[in-house]
Amino acid sequence: MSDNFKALIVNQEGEKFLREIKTIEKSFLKHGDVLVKVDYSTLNFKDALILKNGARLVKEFPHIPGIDFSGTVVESKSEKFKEGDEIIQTGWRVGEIYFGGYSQFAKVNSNFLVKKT
Amino acid sequence: MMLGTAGMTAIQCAFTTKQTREVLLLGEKVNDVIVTGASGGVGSIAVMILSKMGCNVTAATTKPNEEYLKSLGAKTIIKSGDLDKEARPLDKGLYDGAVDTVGGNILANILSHVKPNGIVAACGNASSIKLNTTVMPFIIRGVKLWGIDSVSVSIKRREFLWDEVSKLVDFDLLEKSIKEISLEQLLVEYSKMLEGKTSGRYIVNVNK
Repeated sequence: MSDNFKALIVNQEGEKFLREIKTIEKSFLKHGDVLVKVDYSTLNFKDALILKNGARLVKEFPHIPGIDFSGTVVESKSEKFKEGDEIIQTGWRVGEIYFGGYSQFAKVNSNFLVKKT
Repeated sequence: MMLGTAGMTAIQCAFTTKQTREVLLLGEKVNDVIVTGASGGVGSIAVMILSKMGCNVTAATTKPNEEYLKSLGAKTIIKSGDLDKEARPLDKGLYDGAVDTVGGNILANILSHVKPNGIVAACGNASSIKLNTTVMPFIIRGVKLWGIDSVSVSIKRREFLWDEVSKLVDFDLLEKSIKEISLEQLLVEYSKMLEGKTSGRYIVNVNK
């Protein structure tokens, strides 16, 4: 993968709640043992609440929202997934306490993923 | 990703409203059901699934999209506004079960309109997080309020649900309600959603 990619980042600076599309590096991603090249995420009501002000669901900033995503595994430290596996991620508080799918790459806990069949 | 979290939530709601009650009541059929927030992501998929399961679906919506909801299988369309008022403790029993995606007064009214032993699967708060109801639907009619979340569902159950939902959804039809947006457009659309100005599914193409 290229080291730089695009993600929507929310941040809280004092009273201000910021939403920006930024170019970030892979090292910015901090959770999980599987790296996924994201194809699609979705906009759910919960996402809209989080994009507004974090909705008290996001505990740490800066944060990448997006409560679900689909894509392809590009790196895996888990035996359950290998490069090229197509996956779907929903739930487990991804996009809330873990970085989510509004990003061209996402790192996620392999225990959260479902393989597409 | 046409289904995503909304699809995972909708299939759980539909199974709860229809199949769970049928199991509890030893096969007594669930026929008449209502789906609130029917034009939304979860609501529209729930209308489609429950119709496919053979239910007679009433769709409650604020949007003028009767034709679309009928194409998903809804038999009757009602205005959500008619339910958005203080609920009577018990009202005319109209439905064997319900899927509520909005909460608030609408959910309270649904609880009062459900027939004995009906299950109301609640999964949303777009109308309000408050629920001003009484014990009456629960103790007089045995109505069950069943919370649905899409966060803490085991992988085993997720795999099962994805399998089931893909059998029950007409993807060509669903696709018509899907809007594909970029991350940049997302920054505009999310606030419209909070204002109740969106309908259908929004898919975010992060590479667009």
